[in-house]
Amino acid sequence: MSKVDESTESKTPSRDELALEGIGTDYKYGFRDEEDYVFKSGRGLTKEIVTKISQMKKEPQWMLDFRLKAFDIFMKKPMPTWGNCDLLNDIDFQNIFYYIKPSIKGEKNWEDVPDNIKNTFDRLGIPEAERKFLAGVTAQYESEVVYHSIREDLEQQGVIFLDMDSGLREHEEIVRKHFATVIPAADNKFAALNSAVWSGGSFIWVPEGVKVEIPLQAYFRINAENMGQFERTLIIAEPGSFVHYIEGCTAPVYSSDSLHSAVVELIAKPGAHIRYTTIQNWSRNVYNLVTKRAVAHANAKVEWVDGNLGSKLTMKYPAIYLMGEKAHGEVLSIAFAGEDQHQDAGAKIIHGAPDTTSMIVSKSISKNGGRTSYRGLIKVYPDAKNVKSSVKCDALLLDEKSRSDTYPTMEVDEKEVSIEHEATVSKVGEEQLFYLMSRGLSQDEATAMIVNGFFEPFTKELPLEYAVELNRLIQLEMEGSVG
Amino acid sequence: MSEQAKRPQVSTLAKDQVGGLFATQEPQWLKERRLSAWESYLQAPMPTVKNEDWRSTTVNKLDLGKLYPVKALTKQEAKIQSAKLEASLEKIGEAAAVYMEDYATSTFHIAASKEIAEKKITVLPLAQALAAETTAKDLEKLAALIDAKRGVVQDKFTLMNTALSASGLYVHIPKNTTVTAPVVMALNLPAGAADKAVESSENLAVFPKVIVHVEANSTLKFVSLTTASEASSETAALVNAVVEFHVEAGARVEVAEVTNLTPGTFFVNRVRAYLGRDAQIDFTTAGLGGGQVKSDLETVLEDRGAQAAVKGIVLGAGKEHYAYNTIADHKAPDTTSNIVFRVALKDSSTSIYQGNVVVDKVAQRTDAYQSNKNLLLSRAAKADSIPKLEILADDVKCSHGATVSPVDRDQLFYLMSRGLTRSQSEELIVTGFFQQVLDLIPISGVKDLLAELAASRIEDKM
Repeated sequence: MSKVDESTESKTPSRDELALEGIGTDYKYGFRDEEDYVFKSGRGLTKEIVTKISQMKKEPQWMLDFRLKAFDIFMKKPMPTWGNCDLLNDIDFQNIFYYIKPSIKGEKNWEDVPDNIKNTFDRLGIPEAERKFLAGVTAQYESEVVYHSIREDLEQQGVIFLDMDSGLREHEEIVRKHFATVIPAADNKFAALNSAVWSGGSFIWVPEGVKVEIPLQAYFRINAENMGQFERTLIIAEPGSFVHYIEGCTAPVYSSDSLHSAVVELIAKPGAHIRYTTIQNWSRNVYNLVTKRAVAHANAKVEWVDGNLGSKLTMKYPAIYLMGEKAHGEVLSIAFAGEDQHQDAGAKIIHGAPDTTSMIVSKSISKNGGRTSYRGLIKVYPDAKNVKSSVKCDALLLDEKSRSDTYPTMEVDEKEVSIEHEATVSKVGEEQLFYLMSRGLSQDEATAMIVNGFFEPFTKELPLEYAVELNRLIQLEMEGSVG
Repeated sequence: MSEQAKRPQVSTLAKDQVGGLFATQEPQWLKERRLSAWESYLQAPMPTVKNEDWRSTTVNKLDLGKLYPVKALTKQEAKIQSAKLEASLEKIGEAAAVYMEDYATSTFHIAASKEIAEKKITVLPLAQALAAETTAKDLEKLAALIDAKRGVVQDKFTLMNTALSASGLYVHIPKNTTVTAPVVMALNLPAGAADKAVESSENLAVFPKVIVHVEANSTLKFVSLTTASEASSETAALVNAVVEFHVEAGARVEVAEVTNLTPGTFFVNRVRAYLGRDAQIDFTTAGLGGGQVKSDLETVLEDRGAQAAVKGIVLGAGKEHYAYNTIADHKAPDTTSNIVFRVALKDSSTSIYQGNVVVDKVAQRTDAYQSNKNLLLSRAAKADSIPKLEILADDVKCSHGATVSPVDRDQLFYLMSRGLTRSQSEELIVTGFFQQVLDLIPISGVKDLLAELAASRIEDKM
């Protein structure tokens, strides 16, 4: 980032070429801390490590049993045979650290967080963001949550916002009732892995009728090389409640790979509304293989707002199971793939009840040899009458080295439905460019403007601070990128 | 556990049933191809629903052990025996040549107009073409060309065809030649066990191979009918076809293929068209009957300016299953593909449409469009749609659209308010749904034939 700023001051003309380089080179979160940990497991995964994690967390027996069973499933399940198999098969599961505990306990007070970690999050702008507009913050460093806070008024209303480990300790009954009910351990290989070694993540429970007006936030940071981060998030919105949760992710730049494999379960009870926003900006040595799934009961609404900018390979298809009448699901996603990146993202909506509706909007940009894939599923089960679903995927290709794929699937078992899918792939329109340039904009200003407009349906759904930051990021990536 | 061990045991065609095929009077290169294909066929796994391409086609009901591959037909009949085919041919109108394989009577029929001989056009049963020196040379050359092209799927069914084909046609049009009337090929399957004269006719396996070679700047109309004699019982039969179009620079081919089989038939159809510089293909396919129809239609746009238009109509009824897969492979700049596929499903019929537009890095200024509309006419019908795009070039215009819906209520209301009954209105709407595709078919006789076939299927207990 600084690189671009400097060049702007010294000699303006070359700024375009420099900015062309893309996100990787301008990745401002690429710094790393010295490692100073309370506990770091050895490389590789064994039954002993799984047991050790559970013991260190002083978990109840049922959770240990769950972990061990998941471990068996993980060892048995084959790797997926679809998607980017070449990259997937490069993952060396025995070279990964599955559990790193950075400090003794999660702090409620920012001042009490160990200095080195605090500095990291200060540099990432977390406390600042919190002061500005957040109702609660969780900051996870490696495997554990190091800082956590929630506004008092929310606490008084009975909203629970904890890290997952504390959630399990303090609200075991709620956790036990809902945990892994949306994503069972056997769902897929990476869900099994997460189930075996999960640590951290958020646990949110919103009581009936309570509307959390300002967003709750979590921030995930990987620091160590070859780290595996396996956070586990469970959000339960009781009938008629509302919650908006935002997560952001960054990691340092290393030459060898780290693995982030989260499991996120959302349960929106009748009439509840959950919005889940992700700004994924991992460095380009992180595999991001995440299972996210929501269940929406009658009249409930679930929205995934999903931004994928970073990582080496992302495979993430946020899913919504519309299980009650009139439930509504939306997935709004953007993906940006630069050099050596593959964003394999998408959405799945399962219509399991009548009068359910859904909408998917996916926008992707590939440049500098990057590859974006939209992979989606719309499934309508028999008797789910009057289902309406619309899917729209647009992709922009900025140069001839890049690639864009669309793999939508529609499976319809019911007659009384209306399912629509549309997709386009193109480069930046020459007429649009010509129009803007005829108004006096340079070619890259014009391109950046078109790209901003392209992403606008996404950015306008973000809280203002995020939208500004994202626009700035995109601008950085786009300037001078005329392909 | 290895994949091998987990795979369900499948039956296979017995070598002693097919042994005779390898001994026919064929050029050495073909014998070698057959033998090596046979070896690979035995090794190749049967596709399962886990193969993306076969995800909803149940192959395991197909008992290969009970099928008898047909031998080349030797008895020639001067007239067409099947009344149904006769009627179809009449609809199509004047033909430049007609070739028919009738497995109901174990005869073949071939007739050509004067035009064919005058213009030095070849229309020959494949077996005869392989026996003649000049045509055999062209076939060898084409086979070598295909071998050289990487990416050709060699799965169990194509290998089966390569090893066992004893059916099919060879068409060759020399340079700068225009054939105005269509060349028609028809394949007729027997009505079932009733015909005792034919050895094991109830469990036939036919492996047609059709090779159409159109040289530079020529034009050809080609119609292919695959039918079964009427009133057929649910006999088990397999038709496993491989069809190749070699369309050279500046040539244009208009193709219509009609599938009108019985519920007992398993139809695997692999069509591939190779298009040279500025070559064009206008391809129409109609799925109007068959137990399981698995059809891959691939157009390979190999050189600048090539254009492919692919149209499909499918009208499923009963328990029929249709799996159409269109692939537009853009390998050169300035190429165009346009795919329009319409599916209407009655009763408990099912369809899975998969489409893939692949644009190579070099294929700049590709213009590709893919549309798939599905109309569900019954509660038990099921439609899947998977229109895919894989784009590696940037200066492209690629889009696709897909819809699944029942008959539009407003349209229905409008027609019924004009005094039509519900079923009359539905018939009219379905007819209109297909008409938009039929209107685009360049061969007028085929347009009429399809309109009639579709209409009779629509009326049929709707």
